Amino acid sequence: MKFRPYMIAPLLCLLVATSQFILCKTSPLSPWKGGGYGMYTQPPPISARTVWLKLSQHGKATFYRIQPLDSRIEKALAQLSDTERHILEEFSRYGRRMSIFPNQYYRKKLTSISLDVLPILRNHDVFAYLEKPQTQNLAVKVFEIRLKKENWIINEI
Amino acid sequence: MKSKNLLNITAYVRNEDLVLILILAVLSTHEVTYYRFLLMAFIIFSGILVRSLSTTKWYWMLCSIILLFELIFQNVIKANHSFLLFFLCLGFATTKWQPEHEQESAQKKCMVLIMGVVLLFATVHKLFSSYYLSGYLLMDYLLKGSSLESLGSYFDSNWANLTQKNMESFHLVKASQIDGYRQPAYLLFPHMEAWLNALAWLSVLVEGALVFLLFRKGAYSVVAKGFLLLAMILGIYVLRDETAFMAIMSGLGFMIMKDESVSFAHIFLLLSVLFCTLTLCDWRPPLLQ
Repeated sequence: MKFRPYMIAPLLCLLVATSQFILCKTSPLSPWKGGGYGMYTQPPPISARTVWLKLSQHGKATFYRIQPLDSRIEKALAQLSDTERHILEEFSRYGRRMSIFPNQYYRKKLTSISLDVLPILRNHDVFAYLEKPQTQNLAVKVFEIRLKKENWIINEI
Repeated sequence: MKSKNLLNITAYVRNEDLVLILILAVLSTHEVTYYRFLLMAFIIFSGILVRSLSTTKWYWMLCSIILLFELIFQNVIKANHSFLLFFLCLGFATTKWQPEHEQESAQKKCMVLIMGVVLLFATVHKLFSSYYLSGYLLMDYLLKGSSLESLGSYFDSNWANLTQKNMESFHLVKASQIDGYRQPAYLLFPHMEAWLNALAWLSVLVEGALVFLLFRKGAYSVVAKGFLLLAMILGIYVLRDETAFMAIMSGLGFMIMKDESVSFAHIFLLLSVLFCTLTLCDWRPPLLQ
């Protein structure tokens, strides 16, 4: 078959679709995204996956929800300065990406942004009882709901 | 030969116009930045208003580049429909480099191949998904909307108690213990289970057969046209809130059928206008409950 210019777009489409399928089967990439060829074959990440920041202090662990963003953090956005709001929006943006494709890069990124975000939230009395966090005390967790016939199961991914 | 009949609207609707409207419809419901949306809208409206503009190769190359930037800045991981729009524009841009007398047939071949690849991978994903083939997910969408929404309300109402201990035990939470919990559809409608399971398999079989026919014979045999229409009807029924995707697929159907079968082209044009309108209005299907 002779190559023609009109084949460029379908070939690129084939390349993207193949990569997306392989990534979906070998990693937690949601089939709804990255090209979206597997929409409706799994529950959508926006409602089936939640992303949490786990803060361990004094032998006790507390969870803060990043995706969907905790409603108290959302309310606090109105009181923040532009710089602070920008940091929180970036935090939320990476939270969304993490729910679509949980991986080490987003995990590290979210942990490092959290070091700036948590003091902001403490200063604005959102989480007034927070102590200054350190990287080793922070972990990002993603939970996914799975539909089973009789019940739902929630797994960490 | 094209009919001169005024009712033959396929003679007046060009592929280029349809693609521009499809892009506008899909972009209008996507999370794009304000500036990028304005830029795309400007390009699209200028293409529609100055119709001669949208026949040039540079115009489609520009659209492809803008959509590529859109994909990169939006983050390729998050994108879905934008990819298809990018492939459409790139397809148009590359066919415009062909000699003029070959352009129309090259456009059709390009659209057949894009549609074939998209449907092939949609079928493969479904075949490898136990969720889809068992019919659970279809049931959730068709009968109840997403019952998963109640998970969010559970997290909101129980946030204060979410410590390490009960987060671990959360794996064992029974759905019925969740506040505001709506029972999964398959428990409420057990008689529908077999039907939806069959529907899931039927849609996979129809899509699979369509992919085979598209790659084997293009979309020109009567069987392929029939299967294309059947896949659309099943798609409308099964994936009925995916209006943006349906608009694109029916638009592709129109382009492929345009000079081959006027009656089929009319059906696909009507479908694409319907879905474009629904997408632009951000329509969501009413739930049965």
